[in-house]
Amino acid sequence: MRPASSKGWVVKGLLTLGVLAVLALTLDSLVFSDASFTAGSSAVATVTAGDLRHLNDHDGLLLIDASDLVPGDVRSGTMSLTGLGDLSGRYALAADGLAEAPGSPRLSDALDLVVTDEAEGTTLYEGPVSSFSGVDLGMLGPGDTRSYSVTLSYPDGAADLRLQDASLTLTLRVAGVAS
Amino acid sequence: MKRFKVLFGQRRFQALITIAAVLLAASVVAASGANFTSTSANASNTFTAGNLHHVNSNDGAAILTVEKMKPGDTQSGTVTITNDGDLDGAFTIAESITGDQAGSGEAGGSGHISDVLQLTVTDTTTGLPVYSGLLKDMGTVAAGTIVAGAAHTYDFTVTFPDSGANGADNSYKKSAVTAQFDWVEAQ
Repeated sequence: MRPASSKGWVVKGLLTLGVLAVLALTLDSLVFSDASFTAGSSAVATVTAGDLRHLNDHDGLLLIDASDLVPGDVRSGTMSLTGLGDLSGRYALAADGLAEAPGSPRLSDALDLVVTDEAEGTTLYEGPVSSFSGVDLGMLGPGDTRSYSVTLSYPDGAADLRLQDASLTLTLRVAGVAS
Repeated sequence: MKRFKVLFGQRRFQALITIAAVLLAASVVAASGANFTSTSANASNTFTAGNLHHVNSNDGAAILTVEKMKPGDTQSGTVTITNDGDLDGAFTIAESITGDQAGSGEAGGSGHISDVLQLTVTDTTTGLPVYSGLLKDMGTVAAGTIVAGAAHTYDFTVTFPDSGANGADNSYKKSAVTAQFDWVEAQ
């Protein structure tokens, strides 16, 4: 048997140390591992906000041109609302500003306003312009269209010479609330 | 005689004689039947690893899906976690926002409904609250311990607060948020 060279012993020694190191690491992971049992599952929640919008075919436009109005005249305009978005809403028509001259007597006291739901055939408001604050237009769903007529009349019985050349501007605002 | 002397004089022969003597002594000891013994055994010792496992009634699915939510609305959904393993499990719920879409509304901005959406999580089995606050801020919360074989039902309620009149929440129109809830059961 040939005696091992010194180089051979060194190689054998290093191999032995390597094996021992691997064994030590394995043993360490077995002994000191903090692994424990776990189990998992998941679920989701999705929330999407709705969208309430409407189209007013007279948005920003003049609904009734009642220029040169004289006692006995009646002027009307029709406003159509279409529900857009994906929510239904309850809509209201409100007076959003009344400007008139002279301040007294007031043309708004002399003129009558009538608001009618054309589809239902119901009168939503009937009275002096000065008393109008707003009316409930009802529900409007996505894709629904409803029309409302607004009529302004100057009754003969309300004629007043002091109202000649009087002027009045009534701004109407349509607003809906999701419901 | 001279021949024996020669043999005894060799080391190899002396070693053989010694081994033979030792073997004879061992044989005597081993062959002796004069001893007392008493034995017993605890056989069939079985060691089985525990099983930590649960069933999520909505695993991979939705607890709640709320569409067309409007200010003031509240919606709820429930999920039941059944510990069908044989170890008690300590549960946590980790929430992560996986989708957060801005609104395309009015009022000069595109709000995120996640900024206002409130979430309340309640363990309805114990009646204990698990979380209450903004959905997006939930993070990871402890959900209690469910003993082996038991089931707990958790209620998830989301509320879209109404900030007021005149379209105060218009910027959140069409905004959407998706949250994932991961249940982790540990020993």
